[in-house]
Amino acid sequence: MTRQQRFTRKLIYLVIIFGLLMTLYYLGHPSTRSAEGEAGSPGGVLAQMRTEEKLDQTQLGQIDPASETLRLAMFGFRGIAANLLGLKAIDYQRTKDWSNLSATLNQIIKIQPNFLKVWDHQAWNLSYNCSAEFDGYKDRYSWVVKGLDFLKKGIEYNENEPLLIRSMGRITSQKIGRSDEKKQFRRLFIADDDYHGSRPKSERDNWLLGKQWYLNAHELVRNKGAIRTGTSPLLFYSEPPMCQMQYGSALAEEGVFGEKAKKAWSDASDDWIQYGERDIPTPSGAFIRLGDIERLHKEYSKLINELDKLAGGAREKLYKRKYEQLTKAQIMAIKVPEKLQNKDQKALAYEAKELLTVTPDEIARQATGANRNKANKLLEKIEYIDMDIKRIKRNQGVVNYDYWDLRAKVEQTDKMLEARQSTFEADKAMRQGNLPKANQDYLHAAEVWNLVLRESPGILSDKATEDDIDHLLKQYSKTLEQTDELYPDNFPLTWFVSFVVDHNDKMSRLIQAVNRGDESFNAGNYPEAQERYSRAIELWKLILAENTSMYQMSDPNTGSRILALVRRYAKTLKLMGMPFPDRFALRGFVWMQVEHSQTMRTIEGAVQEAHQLQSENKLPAAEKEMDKAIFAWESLLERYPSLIGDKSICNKIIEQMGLYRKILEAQNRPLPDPFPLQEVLDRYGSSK
Amino acid sequence: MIVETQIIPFSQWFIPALSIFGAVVGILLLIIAFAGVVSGTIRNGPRRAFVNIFKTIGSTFRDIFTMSPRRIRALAWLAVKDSIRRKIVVVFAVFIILLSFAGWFLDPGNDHPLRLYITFVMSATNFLVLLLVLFLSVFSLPTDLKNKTLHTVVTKPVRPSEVVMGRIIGFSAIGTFFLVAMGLVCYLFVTRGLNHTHQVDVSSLQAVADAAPNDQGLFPMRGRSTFNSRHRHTLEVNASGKGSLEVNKDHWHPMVRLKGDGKKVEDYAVGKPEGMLVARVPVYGKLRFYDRERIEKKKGVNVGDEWAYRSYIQGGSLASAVWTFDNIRPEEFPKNIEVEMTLGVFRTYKGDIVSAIPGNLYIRNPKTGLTVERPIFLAKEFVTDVQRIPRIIDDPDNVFYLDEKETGDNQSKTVVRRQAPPELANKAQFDLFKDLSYDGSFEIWLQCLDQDQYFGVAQADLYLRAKDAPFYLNFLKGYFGLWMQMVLVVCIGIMFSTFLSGPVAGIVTMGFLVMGLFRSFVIDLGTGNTWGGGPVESFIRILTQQNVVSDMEESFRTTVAKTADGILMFLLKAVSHILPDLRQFGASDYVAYGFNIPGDWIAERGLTTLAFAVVLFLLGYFFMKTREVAKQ
Repeated sequence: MTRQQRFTRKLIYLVIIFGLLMTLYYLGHPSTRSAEGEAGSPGGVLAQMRTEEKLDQTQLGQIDPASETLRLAMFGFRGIAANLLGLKAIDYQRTKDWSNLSATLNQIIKIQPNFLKVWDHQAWNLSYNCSAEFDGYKDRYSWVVKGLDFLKKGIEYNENEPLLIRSMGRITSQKIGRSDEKKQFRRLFIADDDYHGSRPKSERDNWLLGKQWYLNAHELVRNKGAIRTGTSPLLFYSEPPMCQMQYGSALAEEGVFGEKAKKAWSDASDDWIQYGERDIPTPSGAFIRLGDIERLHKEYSKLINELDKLAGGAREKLYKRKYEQLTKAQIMAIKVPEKLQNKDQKALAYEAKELLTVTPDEIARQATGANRNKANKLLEKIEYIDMDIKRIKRNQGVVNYDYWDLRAKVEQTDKMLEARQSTFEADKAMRQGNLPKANQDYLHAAEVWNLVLRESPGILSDKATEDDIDHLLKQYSKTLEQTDELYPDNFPLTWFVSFVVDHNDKMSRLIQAVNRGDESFNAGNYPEAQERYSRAIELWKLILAENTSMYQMSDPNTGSRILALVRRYAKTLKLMGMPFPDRFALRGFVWMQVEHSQTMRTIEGAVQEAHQLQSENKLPAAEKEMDKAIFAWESLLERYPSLIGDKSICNKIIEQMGLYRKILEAQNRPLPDPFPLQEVLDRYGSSK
Repeated sequence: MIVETQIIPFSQWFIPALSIFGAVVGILLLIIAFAGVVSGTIRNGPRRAFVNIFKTIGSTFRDIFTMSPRRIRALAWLAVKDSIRRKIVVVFAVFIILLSFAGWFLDPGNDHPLRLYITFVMSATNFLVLLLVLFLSVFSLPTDLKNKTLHTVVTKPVRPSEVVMGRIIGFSAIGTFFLVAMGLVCYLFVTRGLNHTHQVDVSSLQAVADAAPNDQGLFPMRGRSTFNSRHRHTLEVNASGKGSLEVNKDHWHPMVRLKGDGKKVEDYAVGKPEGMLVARVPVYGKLRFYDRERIEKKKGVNVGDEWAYRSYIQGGSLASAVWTFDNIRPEEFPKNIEVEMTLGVFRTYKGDIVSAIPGNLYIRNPKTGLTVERPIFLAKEFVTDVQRIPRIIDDPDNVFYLDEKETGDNQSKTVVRRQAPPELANKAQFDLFKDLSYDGSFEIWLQCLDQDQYFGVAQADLYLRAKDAPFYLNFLKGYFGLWMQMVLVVCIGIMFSTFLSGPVAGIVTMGFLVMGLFRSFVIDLGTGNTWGGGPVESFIRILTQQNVVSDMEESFRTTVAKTADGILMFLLKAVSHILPDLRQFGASDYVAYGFNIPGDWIAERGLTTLAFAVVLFLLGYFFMKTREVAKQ
């Protein structure tokens, strides 16, 4: 190669290098700012794209020099390193090596500080999974806080990411406020100076802080154009008001009532109304307002009225025509009250209801002449509103909008606060063993709850309220159990128990079993009747297990229904010549009624008296007392025929009859024949 | 500390290890001899081949046993000088830079800061030194051969064995120097990095309820310290002014009230952290279990934990975990015995959330069955709980006998509780070594008292803590582990560099290093105990994005892949069995968890290193001898 050639080649290399450098500069040179922070050059194509897409490191959040150094030192291998560290973290968690786990997580985030899912997942992992591994609740709490600290760091590196801010809100509110240890967690959270720093104690409530984090996420989406990920807008915007509601509930659970509680619920109500007024995008692209439903309903009714007027009585005519087209079975089905409908009737009634519906479209088609055009225009509007209503209703159902709307309003009323306070005081008295006060407070709480529910029955639409009353009933039942009493006759929430029992998912099967049993009994098919009644009794047992207050007759009407069924069952068995079974499903329920009956008290009194008289050798008087007891037992067995299957009660009878026999023998007389309790003696052996 | 494999006492380890070593070396020599005979026969005929073999054996003995220490020293020094010429000090600079910025990566808020610091410094030292000696050892000989500098050496009366030995010693000396220097820096880094103090947060101090004041009217107080080094302590100070900052993050601080009424920060002096830089000397027992009917079992209940390290005993039943301690000498425990235990707790139901699960310890004489009960304790999970058993046990809560018996079917053993006679039941004091042990043996029984809750234990979870060893000595032992790894890497590098070019020897040694560090994984790969099949199958799965669990569809491709995998896995298995398990030489866990590295460990690993070094030296020597340059 000549010198000339070498020189030419070098020149070509230089030109190529220069060309590549220029291209690289055009693509990649960074944006600049003056010392005062004013914008300078926008940078190369890549820098501009980064700025546009908000991927510039300075736009993501704070820059950690350690993280940057490590990432540079990795030469592009950080993905592999992060994977290996991820596997190590899983292994440390499996072997419960917590210190190495948290150290490894810190390494992962140094390598990938802007990988949101790592922050989100591992914060959840620390707060939920790792914390649950510890036995001591203080340890568990410290791991919840570790998760929060982890997320806090993540937010510093990714300031504009609503996903992490929402996670912060979720862990702060839900994990601390809803765990089994919520009472302890909330206390520790408020006392945690290391976590809160200089934040005053009055501002350390986990629900309110959670709400604030959610609001921060909203702020980012609304004002900084951040992208909301991980949830639908419907739920996204419901989170702050729900936190406020939970705050109100938490106050009540902790015994804080009065103005503070009222304010909490009043704020919750305001937040919920505000939520209802917000434009929320739906997947179809349309916007809805959850609080608009009432207005839309009014408008809909108004338009329907107008349409009806235009069509001149078409609705009635159409309905009549449709009714005439129904089958006999369908007509029969809709005449049966809904509660008593069997499966087939339900299906038929549903069909009939569908067939009877007169749609606005059908009415519009009945309009004639000039009205036809007007009707069509109205129809268009009606359909549009109808679509909106359906869309809103669907979305309302997701967040239980109406319930929370009503709940927030009801909870701030004096009556509701009084009901909750009475329950709280009663619980406290119960824990302290002050039964009379507990009894009195529970009863008072039940009275006030009754008023609240009568005024606002809508709050029963969610299980939360049902659970609150269920707690009251269970606790009250416990106090009654300890004082050996049944529910008072005028217990104010009897209707509620009845309501819950009637709406039990097993009730329709039960009614069906009883009805079929009755049908078989009346037709003289006793084996079939016995089988049906047995099934009904089993179902009652399951229902009673869910409504334990029924054992103490919190609803006498339902109790009577059960006892009536037992009597019918006993009668069926008798007609079949079969003995009453030993292991009767409702034995506990029946015994509870027997034990607390006046008759039982009469028996116990008479037997005790007989004992006394016998010891004083006043045999005729003792015999008279025993006659009284025998008569009472006879009436009890007649009223509660299942007692004959209860071995322990029958043994008690036999034992008492032993005394009777002794009294008679002392007077040289045998047991009378026929003896009223002979069936018991025959079944379980005679007394000695 | 998790001890999944117990260290076998040296006396039990030595003979089997020696016989395995003898067998492996014997087989290796036979293979080499066989290969020599075959190649010699092909080239020169069988007679000549055998003559050459015997000549080689003779010259080998001469080369090995007449090595001159003076020449070796000179060659080693040559290696050192060669290394210095290559500016190896850069590695030390990298290490110092790494350590200077370590604070950025180490989380001071970690619950066990010592573990974090030790793991970091020892890993950093290990990898830097291993890489350093790897590059030095693999490039030295090939470079000398390439530059013909080795010819100037071999023209001297130097044996090939001396060339190899000189390099091994020279590079090992370089590695040793670096390990010592780095070790010193690391020790200072750890001790200074963990050193901190707190002040008393006087606003938090509150008088202990129901406590009596001293003469000056001062009450015992409870409170907390200030928040330093990402933590704080609770503290208690008695009426006379002595107290301590209670254990948090594996350490505590002594404190004392100096003056005044104790209402000012300056009234208190808080000492340096204690209990962190320790080297516990654990005395382990042998663990056995009894189930809820008190039938002896090897394992307890599996509660469904993925990690089966711990076995569980059911609470509120007769189920027990029993450790038998042998050869316990009273002079080792002059006042009392500290029993340290780390329990796992498994709740079948939440129960009382606030309270911990109660447990009980019994001390039993294995010969007589006499058993005394210790006071009930509350379990602390994932924390080392210390229970002190005094040499003289005063007024035990319960005294009885636990008699060992065969079960009805004579298949297993059980124990039956028997009342102690009144004179024993009412005895005021029991001497642990006289009454409750037999010939230095006694048993500790653990029971969980809460119905249907469980305690989980492994053998190493409960031990007797003898007098601590010095931390610095343990640190040194930990570095000895690194030194052994370094020597092995030098030997492997030198061995390969005797017959391979520098870069190839580097890659192969690196392969050995990686495989040595992940030997168990390599064995799993070789034996097919990993998900996703062998290398070819895994590669196909990656390309076709198939999961590792489901079987590959039956096809020609799969058959080819599996056959190729079979061959590769066989090779992998064969290599993995002659690989030194480099992880075995790592003792950083002992130092990090504050446990003394036992003498048995040092002796066993030391001999293993020596055995590998001898074999690698011999192989290196043979390869060196076969090279042209060495024959001149």
